[in-house]
Amino acid sequence: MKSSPRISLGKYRDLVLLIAVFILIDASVSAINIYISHQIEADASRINAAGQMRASAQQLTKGLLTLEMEFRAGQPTQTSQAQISQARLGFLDAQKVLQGKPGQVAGGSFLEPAALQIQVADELAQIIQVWQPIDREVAPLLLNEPLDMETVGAAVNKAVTRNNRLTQLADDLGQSVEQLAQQKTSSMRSIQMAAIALAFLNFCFIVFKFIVRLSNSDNEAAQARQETERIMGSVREGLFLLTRERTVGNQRSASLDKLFGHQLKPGDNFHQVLSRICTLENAEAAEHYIDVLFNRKIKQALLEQLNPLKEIELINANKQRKGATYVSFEFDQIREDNEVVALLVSIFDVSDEVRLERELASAESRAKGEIDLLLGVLDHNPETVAEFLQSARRNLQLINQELQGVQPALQSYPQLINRIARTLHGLKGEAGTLGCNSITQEIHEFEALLTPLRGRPSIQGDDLIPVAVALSRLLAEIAKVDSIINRIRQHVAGRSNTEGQSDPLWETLQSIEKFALKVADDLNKKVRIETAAPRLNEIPPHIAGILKQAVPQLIRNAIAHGIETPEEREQQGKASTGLVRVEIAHEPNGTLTMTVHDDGRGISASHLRTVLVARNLKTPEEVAEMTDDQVVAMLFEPGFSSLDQAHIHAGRGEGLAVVKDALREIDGRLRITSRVNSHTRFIMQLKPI
Amino acid sequence: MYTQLQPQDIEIFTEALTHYFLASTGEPAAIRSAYLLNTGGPVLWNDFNGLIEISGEYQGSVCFSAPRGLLSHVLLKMGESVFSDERHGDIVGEIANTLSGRARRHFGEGLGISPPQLLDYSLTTYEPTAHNTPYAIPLRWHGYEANLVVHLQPT
Repeated sequence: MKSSPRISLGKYRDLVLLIAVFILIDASVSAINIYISHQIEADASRINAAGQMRASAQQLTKGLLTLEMEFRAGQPTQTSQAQISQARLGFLDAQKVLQGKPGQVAGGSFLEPAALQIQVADELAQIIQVWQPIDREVAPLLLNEPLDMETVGAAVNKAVTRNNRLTQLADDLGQSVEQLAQQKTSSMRSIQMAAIALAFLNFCFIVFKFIVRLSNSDNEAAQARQETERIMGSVREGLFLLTRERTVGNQRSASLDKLFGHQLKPGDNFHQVLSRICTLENAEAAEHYIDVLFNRKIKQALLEQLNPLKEIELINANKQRKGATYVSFEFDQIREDNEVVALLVSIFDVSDEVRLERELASAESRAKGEIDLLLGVLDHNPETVAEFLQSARRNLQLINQELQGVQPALQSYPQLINRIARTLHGLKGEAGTLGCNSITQEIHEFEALLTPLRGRPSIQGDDLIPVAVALSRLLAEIAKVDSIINRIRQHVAGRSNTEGQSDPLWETLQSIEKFALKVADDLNKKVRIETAAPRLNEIPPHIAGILKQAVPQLIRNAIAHGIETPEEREQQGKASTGLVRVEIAHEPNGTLTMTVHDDGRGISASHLRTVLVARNLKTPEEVAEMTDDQVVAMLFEPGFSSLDQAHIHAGRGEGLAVVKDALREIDGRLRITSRVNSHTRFIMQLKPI
Repeated sequence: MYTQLQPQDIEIFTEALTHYFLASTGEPAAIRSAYLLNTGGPVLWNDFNGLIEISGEYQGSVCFSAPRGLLSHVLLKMGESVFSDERHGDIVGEIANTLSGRARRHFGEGLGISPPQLLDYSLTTYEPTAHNTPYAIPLRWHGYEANLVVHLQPT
């Protein structure tokens, strides 16, 4: 903040006045010194004049005696006359000096004691009185007229008789003038000493005032600093000034260190600090934003919406850092002379706000998931879903027992993982059929975890820790669905007696149809489902198992692998909507035939051969030696899929392996007929038990 | 918001254990497959049990349980000649301390970790503070089997 010169003068007015007085006193002392030197000069002149008066009187007497002697001897008298004239003029000059004639230094009488002045004046008057008769007698001798003895004799007589008196008076006058000068000099020295003392006192006062003022300023500055430190030490927000050089200023709040979890030092480069505490992307965005803020033409209000440092997550590598998790930065321009000289940076800990927002979003998502789950399972017989859940739980417990009991050996872990994968795939099909989408999703993630393990040459025990964690999550999800189903079952149980006899096969086929439509919808395909089945009062257990496990897998395969996209179908001259037909029929010999038919692209042995070689499952030579039937049989091998990438409905290579296992359990048979770009038909034949 | 227990939250303890055995005896312990312990809290089924309790973002316990034979063998490998109960207990306490330090580094300072305590399975009944299913991770060393039980629940 700049201040005007007038305000500064006001603040230092006393000091300026004192210094002016000091200068004045100094000037006075100098003037007194000059005056004293002049007075000394004048006094010296007067003392000299008194001496000259005495000398002139004696010179005059001597000159007159010489003149008389020369006149009597008839010798020339010009020299004596000249000597007399010189003595007379010398006396008169001294008289003028002592009488204070023009040319003499004036003043000083106020320093001279009055008694001494009177004494000098009296003595001078006496000298003049003694001198005047001599001067009257001497004056004719200096005229250009012939001398006579009488005139010379009278003059000599006057001079000789008055010479002693005149000399005595001149001596007295000299002493008086000298005494007067001494008195005056003493007075003037006192005045001079007083002036110097005054100047010294004034100087001391100035120094005192200066020290007091400096001390007050120091105290005020210290108090201001203390208050600033208290504010900076207690304010919860992080505050500091960011300089134009992008460095941290000296004044900064103590909470900064707590917020960042490490010390922020004055002079630190702010961009380097940012790149340490937040992502590189955020740091770079902040750098550009700060550059724009330092542009004087930019108003910060226009930029607040663009601030990239709002609710940013602070990096916490290895969880070593203490402090806030999320912070928001705010920048305020500090302008001087219309230039942005610095930015005030305020940092707020918004960890709690962000956490609450996320918890709210998570709760909303969970609530939505539960509603979806409820809507999904409401379309199905709760008893069927409950049976599935029980069976799933049983299967997963078996997996857990296997995890507990498996002995570490070269093949035991890979075999266990294959078994887990197959069990999960079967469960996923059933869960999908019964609308348990959250379980389907959980199993899909579990399968994604197993896929890399299945490709590894050796598996250690600790590689299976994620398997146990995924198992725990799946069981927890099943428990969640189970609690919902139990409530629905209790609700349904209240009205079950009022409804007629149900057809369980029809209900199952309805579920399968809904499942098929969902799979088609997920894969952006159009499918029409046709079902044909005899009416059954109850489904034999071995058929129920196939309906739950094998049929959903075959339908999923038919839609994922067989049915083309509407565009592909139109290009091939087919109806854009594909057909999947499920038929269940009794044969005369008691065998039950289940058929899943689709009018999709069919199974291409040549395409499968290419896939086998591309995946390094077979060498080109081995593939060349295989028959088409052998190539198609590879579809039933665990882990083989003709798709390049797995999605939730296909690509794990487990579907047909599950079908094969399910049929093997009940000694069923499977036939496949297919023609490329025409159809694929899976026919399962189940013997009566 | 604290997430569910992640595999790496358990792996840090198995890593700490294998490192302990390798550093103390020169021979690593082999971790076996983890499984879910359906019987509830930490099962104190071995002679010596070292347990740390955890509170804060996660709540529960981590327990290392080892038979006397394994600990005696560890003492032997370490060049010890005294095989008292106290020395056996020291080894379990040391392992629990290692687990505690590793937990502090992994989960951060926000986690409260109790000092290791030795539990005697024949005298003590332990009430778990977490209520989910614990994970049991057996480990094999020199033919002995010890167990690590991680029973942590996000709060």
